[in-house]
Amino acid sequence: MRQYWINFKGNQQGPMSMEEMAQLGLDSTAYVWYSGLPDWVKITNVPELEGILNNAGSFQQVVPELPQEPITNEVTLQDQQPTTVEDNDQQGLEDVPPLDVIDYSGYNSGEPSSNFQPQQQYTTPQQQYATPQQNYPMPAQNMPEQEPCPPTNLVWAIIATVLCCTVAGIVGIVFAFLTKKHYREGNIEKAKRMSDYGAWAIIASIILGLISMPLSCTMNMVKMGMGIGG
Amino acid sequence: MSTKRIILTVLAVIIVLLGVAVYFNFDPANPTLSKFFPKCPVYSFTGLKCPGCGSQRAIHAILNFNFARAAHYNALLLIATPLIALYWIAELIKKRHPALDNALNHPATIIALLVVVLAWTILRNIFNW
Repeated sequence: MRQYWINFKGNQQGPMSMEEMAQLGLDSTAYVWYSGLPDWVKITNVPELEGILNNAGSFQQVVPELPQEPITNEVTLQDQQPTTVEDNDQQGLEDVPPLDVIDYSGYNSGEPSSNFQPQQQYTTPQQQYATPQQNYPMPAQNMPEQEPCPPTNLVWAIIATVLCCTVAGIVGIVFAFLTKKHYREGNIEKAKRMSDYGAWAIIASIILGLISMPLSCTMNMVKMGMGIGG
Repeated sequence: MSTKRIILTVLAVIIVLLGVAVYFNFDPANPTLSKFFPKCPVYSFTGLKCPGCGSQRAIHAILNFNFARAAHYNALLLIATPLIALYWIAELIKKRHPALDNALNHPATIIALLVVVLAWTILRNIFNW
């Protein structure tokens, strides 16, 4: 089942199932993220989650200027699960893309919207992650640990290249690159597929090598024999 | 580690050791022995050297600690050997030190490898390396 992360009134929570989310009394101001999404999206943009929105809460959208106003939802939320919230503050957040990165330079933009105060304190660690890969769009580095990058098979591709199986080796290197590229763009499914293709290219090269090796040996010996005979 | 993994590892180690023994003792460059060694299909068909051409002779040279000779046969293999070792070490210590593995599998690193391999292939055919 798909696991969701929620950012609602400045609290980030997750992973949780759709059923758990339904208990939180979320309204249309909540943001949601799950593995495979490149970034946080407004919950209203995820059609499958429409059913769990708290209709009463949609008043809020009319008065977005007053997020600090105590709202019953929030109070009950924190009363019920204070530990969960704390836990997530400590470990969960590192894994999840920050809210304020919609413009990719936004890690250090000093403009945290008042709705998402807690986010601010994570600006610094995010920045450390962000520097080495400015060329690559973004949050994949922050993927939750449940979704590690599928293997790139790069070592095998290099070995195949420097030993016999040139073509397969180079194909393997290309697939290693594509695996990593799609992973970093948050497209896990595609990354997995590329990883598999790369593995198959290398396996095929080994099989071809095993077939051709004795074949070329015998051919050499036959040639030698003919040479001696003639 | 699952049983399957252990069996595969043992099998791989045996194959590698066998290969090392063969390539340590027999020189593929030796004309009377060379017929027992497989030939590069790319070279046989196209007459062009692939990035792996000469690697058998180079492996024999490396195993006999003759690195200059190895570079003569296939310089890429000589460079790639420590690199392959590095990749394996990075994979083994990935849990504790993910930074090395991340750097080695960074898209930029992979592209650099690809460029090196392609450049090597072209250059060795031009200059007959």
